[in-house]
Amino acid sequence: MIESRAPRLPRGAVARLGASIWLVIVLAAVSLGASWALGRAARTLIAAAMSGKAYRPDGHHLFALLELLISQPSVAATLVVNLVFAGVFATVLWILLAGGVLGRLWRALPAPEVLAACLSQAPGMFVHTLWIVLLRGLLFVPLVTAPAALQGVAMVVVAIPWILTVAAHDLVRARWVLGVERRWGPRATFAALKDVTRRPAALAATSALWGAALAASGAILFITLQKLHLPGTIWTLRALALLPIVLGVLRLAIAVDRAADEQTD
Amino acid sequence: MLTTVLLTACGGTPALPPSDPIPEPTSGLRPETQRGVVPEEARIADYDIEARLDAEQHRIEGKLTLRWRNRTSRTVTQLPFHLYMNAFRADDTAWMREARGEHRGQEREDDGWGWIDVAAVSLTGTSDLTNLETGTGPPTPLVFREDTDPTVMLVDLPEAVGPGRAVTVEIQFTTQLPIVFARTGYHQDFHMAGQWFPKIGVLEEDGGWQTHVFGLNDEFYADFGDYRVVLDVPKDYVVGASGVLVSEADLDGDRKRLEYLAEMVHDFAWVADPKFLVHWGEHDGIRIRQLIQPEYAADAPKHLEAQKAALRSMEARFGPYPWSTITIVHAPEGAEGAGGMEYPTFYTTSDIATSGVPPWILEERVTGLFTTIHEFGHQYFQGLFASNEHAQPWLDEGMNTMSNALVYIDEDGEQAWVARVFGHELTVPDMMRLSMGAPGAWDPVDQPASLYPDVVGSYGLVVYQKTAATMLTLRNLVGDEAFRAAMKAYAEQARFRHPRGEWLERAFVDTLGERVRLDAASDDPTSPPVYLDVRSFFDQALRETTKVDFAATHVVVRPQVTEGGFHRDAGGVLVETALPDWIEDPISKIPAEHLESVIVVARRGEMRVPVDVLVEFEGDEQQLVVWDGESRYAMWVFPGKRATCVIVDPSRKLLLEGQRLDNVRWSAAARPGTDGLSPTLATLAEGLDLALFGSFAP
Repeated sequence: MIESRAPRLPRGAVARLGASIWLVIVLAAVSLGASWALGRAARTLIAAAMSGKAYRPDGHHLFALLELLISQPSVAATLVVNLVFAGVFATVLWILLAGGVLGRLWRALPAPEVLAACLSQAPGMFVHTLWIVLLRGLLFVPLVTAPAALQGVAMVVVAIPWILTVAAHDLVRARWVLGVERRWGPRATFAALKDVTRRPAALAATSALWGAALAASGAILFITLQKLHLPGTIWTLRALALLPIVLGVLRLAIAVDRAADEQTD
Repeated sequence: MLTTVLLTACGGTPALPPSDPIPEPTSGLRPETQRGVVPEEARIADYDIEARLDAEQHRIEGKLTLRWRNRTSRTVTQLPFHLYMNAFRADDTAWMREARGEHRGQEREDDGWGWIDVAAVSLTGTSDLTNLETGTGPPTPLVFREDTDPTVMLVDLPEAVGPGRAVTVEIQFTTQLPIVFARTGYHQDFHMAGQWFPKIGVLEEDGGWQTHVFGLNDEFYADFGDYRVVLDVPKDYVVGASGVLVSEADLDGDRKRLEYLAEMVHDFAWVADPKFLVHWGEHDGIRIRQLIQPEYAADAPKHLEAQKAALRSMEARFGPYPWSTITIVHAPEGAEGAGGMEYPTFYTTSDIATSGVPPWILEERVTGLFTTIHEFGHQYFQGLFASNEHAQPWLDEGMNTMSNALVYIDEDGEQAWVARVFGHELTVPDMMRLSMGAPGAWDPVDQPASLYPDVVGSYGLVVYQKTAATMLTLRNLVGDEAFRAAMKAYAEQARFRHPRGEWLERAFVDTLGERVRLDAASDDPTSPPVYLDVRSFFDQALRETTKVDFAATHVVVRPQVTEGGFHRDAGGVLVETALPDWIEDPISKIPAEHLESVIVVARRGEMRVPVDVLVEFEGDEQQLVVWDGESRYAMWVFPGKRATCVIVDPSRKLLLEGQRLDNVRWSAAARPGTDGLSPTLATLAEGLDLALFGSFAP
């Protein structure tokens, strides 16, 4: 757990979030900055592939993109590498930051202590993320093996335990950071899975926030693919990208609230 | 998709939209006032066939009587026949050697061989052309043998058949249908009988007998005539066939007898499946009968609309459809290899893909509907204009692909779309242009089908797409009105005949002239006229492998030459004239009247074709020039103007040019600081990253 004399934050997820606005701003800056940097790198590589070529908007941008992708396979490779790198980077980044974020949502830690928490809690965050990933891997089995006719049913069936893993992941990490539960093994995860069902209201809130964040990401994806050729699109996307971060932090705050209760008990 | 799946899982099927049955036409041909005259000299080969389908063995026992007329000045001693089904008899037939057991991605089933075995051939009569009936008599057995490849059979005649004479022969045969593969065969109860009987070759005045060995890319070639076909099939089977149903009677047991008459066609195909549902439609007296599988029944109206659109466009462009009926067949799942094939008044289509992707992500009009339009187009390009598909496959497949694009354009305008991805449209011309940018078009268009090696894979790209892109480029250059007139001239000449490529080219040259003046659109009345050399265009596009590729290479804005410096005056004395003050200014500060703009456009491809070049100047001024494209590059100088941008082929006329990203160039001063695509793709990359970060957070 985090050893700190910093005062505890007021109870209530919204209150914790309100007391940590700068944290949200930093997370948003990191996320937007990383995406911008990756996009910039892709742009540089694609601009090199476009050397001597130009497209003047004439309503045939899909043809122009396809022509470029066919004539310059490196462009498609650039986009794929960019996406893979972003995925890996996001995974590592959130594992690394989770300990500090949870700690800051618990106590009014100064920035150096948040940074220290990021590093000190990272192993625990990694291990408990690993258990959750393995568990979700199991949930994929029915999705992959279900006959095509039952794919829709399989998705509905899997969605419920999937949401439980989201809430359990938050809770087990919060318990770790607050020192409520320091077991490395998967039993801590299983216990959290069981416990999250005991507070339906909190589970419902977590589900709603997770769903909203996912919807926001879906909206980003949709707008990206539909409006990518319009100049102002990127600013809309950046603005929208703040939403999943705020919602995610709020979700963690719910878990911190509960872990703090358990700590008191 | 989900609806289909759930309904199927529940034992139900999507409902077949209601349609009123259309009565069987009384004749296989439309009335002469609608279809025009059918030349009697086109009638060469009449067939009477009686066939019995053994649905358990998937085998057809048949007897055919052929009345063949020699309308050439040649004398023949042999009758060659196609035994197309023998292509699937063994692994070492010419067809299989090339295909290696695969056709359009479908593997041949190990136990699914198909073959045709001729048991007896006999001569039952000879006569002159005026009265064939007088020539019938007792049968004389004839000697026959398979040629080097089993897809060709040679029959020796006891005596020569000279010009103006006719013979009647009887052939007994057995056809084993393969498991559906390469257009024909059976799948469970579905039986598609295409190229199922011995078919006589075509005797040409110039070339003699044309009876090609059936190869992978080959299709068919045959003479016109009437087909009377009697089918004996299980009673519960729904049957579709070329022509019209003349009579129907129940036989003993669980069988029925169906008699069809297909008039002035060059092939006869039929299909039988107890699961078929029937959907009806009508267009200007033409009965449209659709045989559709229950799982795709809901799509029947879409195919019907596509069929009607094709009829509207093609009748307007290529003349009336002469027959009274058209049958559209949907092969069942597992028998997709039978889909997408044309026969007279009858074709198999493919079904609209049910990927489950919602339309706001992807809408497409390629699967299913394009096949319907394409296969109907073959009723003209080969069905009616019966070219030799072996010798000049482009004349049917390529010209047909062109006509398919025109159906979309006639219905929805020049920018008709075939696909929408997240709302971004890909137009019909763009789709063709895109294929012109793909590598692999290493063969010329105008060559026999057997010269396209399957390994190289250029057949589809060249025969279908390049031909279509060539013709649509020509249309864009000369205008739709002139193009229509030329195509109409070709169509009138080609109906019920065996047209050749040179007929098409001649029709264009005769209609348009050897050279077409193209500079009407040029803004500069003083510029020299530019002509399209029609013969050269066809030569390059059809018989060479050259590509069209232009590039805007230079937009230079520079000061005009001044009078500064020393010149001799009238007395021979050197006199200095001062340079103007503005000469030291940066280009951006020099008034346009002292500048000149130099534009260079290069021809990177080897194909020489005229092209429009649009030059934009400061102050929204534009000038369009037409370049004949003959030299390696062209340069234009515009005094007193500051050019900002040059666009080669701004109206996107050249569908043969697959790479257009080098067609735009800005002047150094006007360059927008972006190439126009990398910001778009950077938005894509960053947007995807943001979505990923969002869904992982925190």
